[in-house]
Amino acid sequence: MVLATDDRLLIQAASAGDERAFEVLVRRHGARVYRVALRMLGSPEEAEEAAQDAWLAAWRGLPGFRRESAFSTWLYRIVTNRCLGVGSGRAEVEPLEHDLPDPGPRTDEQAELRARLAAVTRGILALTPEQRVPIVLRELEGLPYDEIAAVLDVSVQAVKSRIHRARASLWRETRSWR
Amino acid sequence: MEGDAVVALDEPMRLECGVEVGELAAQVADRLPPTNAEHQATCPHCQAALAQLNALWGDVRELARREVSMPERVVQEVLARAREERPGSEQLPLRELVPRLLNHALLEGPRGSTRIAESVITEIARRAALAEPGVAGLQPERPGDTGLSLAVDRHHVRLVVRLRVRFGYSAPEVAANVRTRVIDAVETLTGLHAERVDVVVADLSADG
Repeated sequence: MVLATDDRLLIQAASAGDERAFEVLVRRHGARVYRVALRMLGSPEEAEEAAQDAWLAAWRGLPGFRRESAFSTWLYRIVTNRCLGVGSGRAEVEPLEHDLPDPGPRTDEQAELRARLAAVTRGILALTPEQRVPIVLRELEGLPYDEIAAVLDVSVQAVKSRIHRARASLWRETRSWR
Repeated sequence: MEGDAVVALDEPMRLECGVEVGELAAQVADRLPPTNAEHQATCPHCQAALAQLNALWGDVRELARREVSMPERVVQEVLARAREERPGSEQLPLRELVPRLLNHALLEGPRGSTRIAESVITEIARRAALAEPGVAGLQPERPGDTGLSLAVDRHHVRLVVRLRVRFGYSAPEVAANVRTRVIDAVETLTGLHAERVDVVVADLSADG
């Protein structure tokens, strides 16, 4: 990432208690944390709570942040763990569509797209946590396999096989309404 | 969490023609060349699944492109709460440092896989630790905690054991013995590899 050096200084300052440095980090990386929470949980309310928890955990944990992993990797790990904590008994959530921007005057086409995206999100929520985390990181965040492996602390091979199964499950979940 | 070992059937999902759905999905999602182009070209099952997968991934990519930003009120709330405490005021618990994804350890065999629930592993470790004479008990870090935490990655296990040591026993000796007992018990009884056992002597027991 281009901003890596900047991040390093900010992280150092924030670890020492500099709230302004922390604020820059929150604004810089906030969207990614919130986005993952929203995709993992489906509901904006829960995502806000999980993102907030994740950021506070990051603030508390900053002094222990080990430089061998990228800051974004560390954040992804914290937020996915937070979401898994919320996530027991997920799946029954009946969410979404409301996270899509209001299209203004609706055409049938837009309405149909919204319905399809909502169905994709439902399909993702129906996955087991083991599959949901890597699929969100891969397909929605666009992370390479090795970074997902670093987030989950498993081998690249393990990530690939989970994503392999997750994709098949997603297909099965969404096939019925297509 | 269930307290038993379950045997999972991890068969890949296949189409009627025998082709793995995951293979076709990878082809679409990662834009890979087909692994079996001739078969695909003529197979109606593959053709139908590919059409569905292409449509599905069109939507997945559309979802990925949606702009999402963290609401300002979340930023404000985080900053307000951060101001109330210093960083490092609380150690991140182990579960924040290692992924919490898998709550089963996994042993792959040629005729199926075995999953062992985390609760099974912690129970084995708990009994092994308590068998050491110098140990008065496990010391939970906070209410609701067991004094034992673990992370599993397939067949590798890392554990943290928090102990209350009986007064009069050498703490490092007790810790070393507990480590050996826990490693032996976990490895013998589960077949998993106990990669690391960290022992925290968290308290002394006055009753000697």
